[in-house]
Amino acid sequence: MRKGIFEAAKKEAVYMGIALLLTLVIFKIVFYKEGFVVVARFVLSFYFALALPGFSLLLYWTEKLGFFERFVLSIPLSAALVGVLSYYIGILGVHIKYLSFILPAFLILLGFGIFLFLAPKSEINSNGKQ
Amino acid sequence: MKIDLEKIYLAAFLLVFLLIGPGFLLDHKIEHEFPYGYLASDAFQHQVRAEAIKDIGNFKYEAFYISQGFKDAVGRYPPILAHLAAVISVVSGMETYDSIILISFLFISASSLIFYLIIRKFNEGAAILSLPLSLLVFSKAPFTGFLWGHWPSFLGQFFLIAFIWALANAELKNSYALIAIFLAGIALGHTVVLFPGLVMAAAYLISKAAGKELKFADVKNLLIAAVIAVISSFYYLVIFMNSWAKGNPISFSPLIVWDGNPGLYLLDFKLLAVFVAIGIVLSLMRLKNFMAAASVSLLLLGFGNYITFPDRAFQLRFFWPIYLSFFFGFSAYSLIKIISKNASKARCIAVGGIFIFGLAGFVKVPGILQAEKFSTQGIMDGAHWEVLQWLSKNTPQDSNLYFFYGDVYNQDAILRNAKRNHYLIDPQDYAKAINERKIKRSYLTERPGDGGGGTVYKKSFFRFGSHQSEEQTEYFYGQRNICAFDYYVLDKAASHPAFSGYNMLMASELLKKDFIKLVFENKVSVILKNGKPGEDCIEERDF
Repeated sequence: MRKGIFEAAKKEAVYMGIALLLTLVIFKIVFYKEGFVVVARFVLSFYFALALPGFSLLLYWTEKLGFFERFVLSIPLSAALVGVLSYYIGILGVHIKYLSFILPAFLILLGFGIFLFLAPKSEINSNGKQ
Repeated sequence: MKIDLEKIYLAAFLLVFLLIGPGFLLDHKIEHEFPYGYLASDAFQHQVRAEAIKDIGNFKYEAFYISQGFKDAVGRYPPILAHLAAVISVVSGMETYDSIILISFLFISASSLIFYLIIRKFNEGAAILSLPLSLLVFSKAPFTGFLWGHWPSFLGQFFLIAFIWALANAELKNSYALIAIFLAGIALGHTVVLFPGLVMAAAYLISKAAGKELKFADVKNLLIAAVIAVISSFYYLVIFMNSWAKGNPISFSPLIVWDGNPGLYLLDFKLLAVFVAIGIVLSLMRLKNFMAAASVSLLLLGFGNYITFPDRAFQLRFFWPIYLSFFFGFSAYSLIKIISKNASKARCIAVGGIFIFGLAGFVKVPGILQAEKFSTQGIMDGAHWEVLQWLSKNTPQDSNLYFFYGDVYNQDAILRNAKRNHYLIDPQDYAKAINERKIKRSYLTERPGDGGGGTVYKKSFFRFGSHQSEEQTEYFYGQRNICAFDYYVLDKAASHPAFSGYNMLMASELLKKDFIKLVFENKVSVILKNGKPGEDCIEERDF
């Protein structure tokens, strides 16, 4: 099973890398007057806060949902989770300047944790839909 | 290596979508020197709220400079958009005014792709052909709505579409978690979209029941999701029920035309409406299918203006190009099948490519609705932004600012960027003084701020008071002695020279007092500091 997990993770990482590269290219074309560093900084921030948290949680459904579907759905999932949780945790007293880094990182780790330990065994393999 | 035409098609669509939306509007730049592409006060309202959350750290209270000076006004606006804009601003280092408009665009582009995925479950070819219609969210009416700052509505509908996707994929193990999260997203993203959400849930259950596929597990799944969503939204929903729900209650007031607002009507689609109409007829025969039932429901919800919720119904119509894309794609797919008997994926992609080119508005195609190329810096400019930034950084936090006439100041949420208590002269009273050739000490003055939903404060968890009903009217609007203020902002230029001329006359009269100093000046404005607020600062006379 562990080998399957690593193979699946490796495949996911490759697809995510391609998606990131493609996003960078599209953004550089759309915002061609902007320097590459600014474009890259925005795209990476967007991935960190509004794509990867949801994506890691959607790993739970790897076998049932293809990469593209999970990737697109990771945006509303991240937006809802980061939006709702930052609102509540902020009210509890944690400043958003810290939450902005801690919360997405926590959700990303949580998603991986669920994938590793809680996902149904039959769903943890490297043959997920793409 | 196998070439995946569909992925290339999707990438091309995304490129065109972003190009004609944020690309042109934002002058192909991510970062700007000032809020760029903002066309109305509401857009600034959201931007300044995100900025306040970034400064303060949370949204327990609305910033005092947003809520007319009240420091205990509870944060009552649906909070997600402002929080996400603040998060992206912190992580990327960009300004909140750039992050909020850009992520709003990205949520719309994701909406069209999610809807494509939902249709794809129904029919792959129809999904491919449906996608180009989404480009029409950049046709005149919805795009104007975007520029005017209907961003929370767009965000709420983005979550609504994700919620529909979750319903369409309810067979996934533990799918209640996804349904609940998207429902909570709607509740805290744009709460009124919960109503269409309930309609979608009903459409899901009814279509399943009609197809004799409804099981107890489906109902249980939805109920668990609803309970989780209510629990996770409860704190905010209490605030919502005591502010927006009381301040803007449901009223049965049909509205046929959305006067003064950018309404989208079916006939605006012109010839495309024929495709949509055929798709509607075909869908009505397949209401056992959730996708057909959902699309018909979304169409009907857009006609809600004929019964109630006129504003909300017209806001739903901003997303009609996405919601109605199912009908469009379904009908185009059926047509291809009738004509060629071979609606292969490659053929659908080829036709879809033609649709993208035609609908994007790169070339004028008569007889159809097309996307519009908006390219404008909006109502803000670098010099006015410099004035507001100077005020926010160089004046004590408890300062009272007085804005004399300025062309852009009637979009008063702009002024909140000074991050101080601020007051705005009534332009009609100002014009009257000009006509009467008088210099006065008192003018009719407004205390601008966000009173939407009522400026409420908490007495206990469930009990709220309202500053608007408890304060005297004069607190918000009335005659005010200008000598009581700490700083004066006077514009040097205005669309009507009489205003700018009078502004400069007032500035020179104020500067006659040695305790009033010029502290800032740029090409559009001067800022004067009153060293002795409350003392006689100007001589009343005729000129």
